[in-house]
Amino acid sequence: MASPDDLRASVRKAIASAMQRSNREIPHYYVIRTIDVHAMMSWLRRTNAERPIQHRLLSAAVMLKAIAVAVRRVPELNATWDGALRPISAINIGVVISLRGGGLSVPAIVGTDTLTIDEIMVALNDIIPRARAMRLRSSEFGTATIAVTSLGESGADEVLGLIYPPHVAIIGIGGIIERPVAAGGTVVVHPTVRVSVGGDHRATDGLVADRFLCILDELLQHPEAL
Amino acid sequence: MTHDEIMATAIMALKRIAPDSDPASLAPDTDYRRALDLDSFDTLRFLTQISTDLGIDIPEADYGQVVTLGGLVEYADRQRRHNDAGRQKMPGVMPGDKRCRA
Repeated sequence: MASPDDLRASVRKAIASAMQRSNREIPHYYVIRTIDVHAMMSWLRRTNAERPIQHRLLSAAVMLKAIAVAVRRVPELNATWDGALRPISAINIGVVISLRGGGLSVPAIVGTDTLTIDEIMVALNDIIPRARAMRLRSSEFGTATIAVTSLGESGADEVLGLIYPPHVAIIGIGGIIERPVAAGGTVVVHPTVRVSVGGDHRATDGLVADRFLCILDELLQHPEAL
Repeated sequence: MTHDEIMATAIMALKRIAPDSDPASLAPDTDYRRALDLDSFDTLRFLTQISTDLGIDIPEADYGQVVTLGGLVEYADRQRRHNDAGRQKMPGVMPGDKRCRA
């Protein structure tokens, strides 16, 4: 049985090797969009007010569902690159989870687009504690088709990730931060989030990422329909 | 349940989520989320555990009152007194305390 220090060292080595390869082989581009999440946060507040604490949702579950649905409509981002773009039909979002004491783990939620927000929340409640306890099964890695990294609800403005080979994109979710938003000729203060797409420029162009972010923005304005 | 017992329950729950930390050393007015590096998932897990252990409800709108151990103890104490008062007024209507049967 490996000691926690050994495990941590092997996690660090795995990250080093994947990120080194990513930075060496993949010409990254980044596209960022600030999305007004007033509708999403209001919906969450209303939904959670009616639920016992065991069944409450976090914004990450809603974001993951919306991202998965948007990815379905922009399949170029859910693919691998081997000299040609190879789209993958299953959408398995790899959730980047920070480990206590350093290091990351990226288990996949298989078929994220086919799950309800509640089911995604259940999946997160299952994998996050197990990831942090280093108790994931090996089958839970390596099935991801696109990664999502998030700074949490009160983190920095934005995060620009490095693509996990052999993926062709990584989505970065910044902190949920109140910003002035112009709407209908006036300025209001709403919770907003900066979402980034890091794309493989061999496989796609920035326009594809822009289309994805536009669809994601639209989806997040109607969280009840997700 | 005394304040000390509520505090001990909270510390045990925090220790389970952040095993590498020493929650017992936290000052009562310290934000334990920052001090122990808890994200929103850890925090929700902790509050879910505490709700079950103490038999109280913590509505989302009240989360801001329970981000320190001192705040949590006071909040839990208030909720439990409120529950007790409700129970005395309506005997048999409130669900029984499951831990009594253990």
